[in-house]
Amino acid sequence: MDDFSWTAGVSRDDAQRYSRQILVNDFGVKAQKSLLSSKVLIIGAGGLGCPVGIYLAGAGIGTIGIVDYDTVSIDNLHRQIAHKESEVGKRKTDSLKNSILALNSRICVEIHEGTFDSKSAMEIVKNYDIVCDCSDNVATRYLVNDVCVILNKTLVSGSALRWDGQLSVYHFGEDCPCYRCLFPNPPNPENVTNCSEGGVLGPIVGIIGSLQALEVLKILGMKESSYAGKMFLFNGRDGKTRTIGLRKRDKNCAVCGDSPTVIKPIDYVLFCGAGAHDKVENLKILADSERISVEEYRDLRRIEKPILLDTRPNLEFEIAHLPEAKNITLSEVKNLEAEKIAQTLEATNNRDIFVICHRGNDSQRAVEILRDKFANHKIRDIIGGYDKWAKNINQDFPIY
Amino acid sequence: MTEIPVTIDFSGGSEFLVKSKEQKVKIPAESTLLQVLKFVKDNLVVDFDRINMLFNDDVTEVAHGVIILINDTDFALLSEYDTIIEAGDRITFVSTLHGG
Repeated sequence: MDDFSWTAGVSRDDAQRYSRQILVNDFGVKAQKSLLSSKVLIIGAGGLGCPVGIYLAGAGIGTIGIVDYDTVSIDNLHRQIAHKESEVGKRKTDSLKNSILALNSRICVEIHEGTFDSKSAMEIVKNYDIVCDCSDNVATRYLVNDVCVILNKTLVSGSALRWDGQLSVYHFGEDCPCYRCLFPNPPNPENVTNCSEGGVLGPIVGIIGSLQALEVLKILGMKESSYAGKMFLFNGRDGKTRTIGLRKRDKNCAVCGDSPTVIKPIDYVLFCGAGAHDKVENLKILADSERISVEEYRDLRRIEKPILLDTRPNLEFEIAHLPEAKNITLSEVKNLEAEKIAQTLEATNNRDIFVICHRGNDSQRAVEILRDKFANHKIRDIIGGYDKWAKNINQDFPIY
Repeated sequence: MTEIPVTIDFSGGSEFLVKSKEQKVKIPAESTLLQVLKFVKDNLVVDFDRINMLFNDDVTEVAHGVIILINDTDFALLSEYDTIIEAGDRITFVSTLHGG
């Protein structure tokens, strides 16, 4: 026998780099080789997509695809750990790619920075072995689910808000339900809270994203998952975790049932009644006569201290408010007697009442309610709310 | 009327509509899950402005995007709204999350 031959499971470089996971019982060389030749698509390079991308890069996934249309903003950084201060304003796809390559330059990273919609999704997803839903909105979640079922890809789905996280694996084996089996109909858009309204703590998305990455490693390396047909629920406020048993695949499911009616992607913005993003949309409920611009309001308050009602939740009021503002939340506006509201506002002599909120949506809803309660006062909302105030009047105002 | 003790809890955002996230209550024996929905509406909900986050208008179903669990099992694996609730059961209302 010569001194220079050997039988290798993995190359020298791979053995060195990945040894600490190859050594793990039940994982080993076979799983490692499978990771090295696999292609994973990450939909959403945000709070979930960052840890998923980083852990998968560390583990040596052959190709990682990243879908995102958005750019990095400063309020992402507390949780979207692959993005750095220096990348604020740049594309999230590029930023996550840079972080992945800085960790493991041998990963092939493919970025898909255009819109991910019914037209483009099939062409993108078909090139991957498995998909991670790290998105932040209902329309994208249905789109990703349907495309994964149609193209027969397993979907590792994570979501998070405030203190809570949820994780499940869909369309993995004959009995495993898909997202639509659980939720055949989308929620009413009014009932959906996103991270830019409800907030989320960084480690919550970190935990769920890390678990998504772990399930990808198990599914690709070992062809098994702990969360197919189950859902993991995590509440970081109480420190409680639960794994719940879900229904089996619904034979009548519109997409994964025995006679599917959804055989290609549909119009998900129409289906869900909400856009494929997590931005708050600007409503226009009131007539122009019931509205006032931030510039007009500034001019008025220079002359006399106005009566200003701030409808935001108390937490947001505490971040910052104009000194004349009195905090009466939208729900209090609905439920409190007119007298009580007038008392808090010190609204005497039929003086004008102005209403402000974060972006100018709730303030309009409040004007609609208040105009009946205060027939003798002229009531107007401040167009665009504090966001607009911070943009047009005072750039130092602490906006969020 | 005989009553049985059960635990009712809420997660994923539905807890903001009720008095507290987890409550031990007594409900009539032999109640179905459908009757528990009405019980929750009559006894636990405090924010009626947003009650459509939890139930449909006539409180015969949960809203789209909400799953009910009985002892951590999806009610669709049981007898759905006809499931008879037993003493000591934990009934959970989970609102699905969409953020990320």
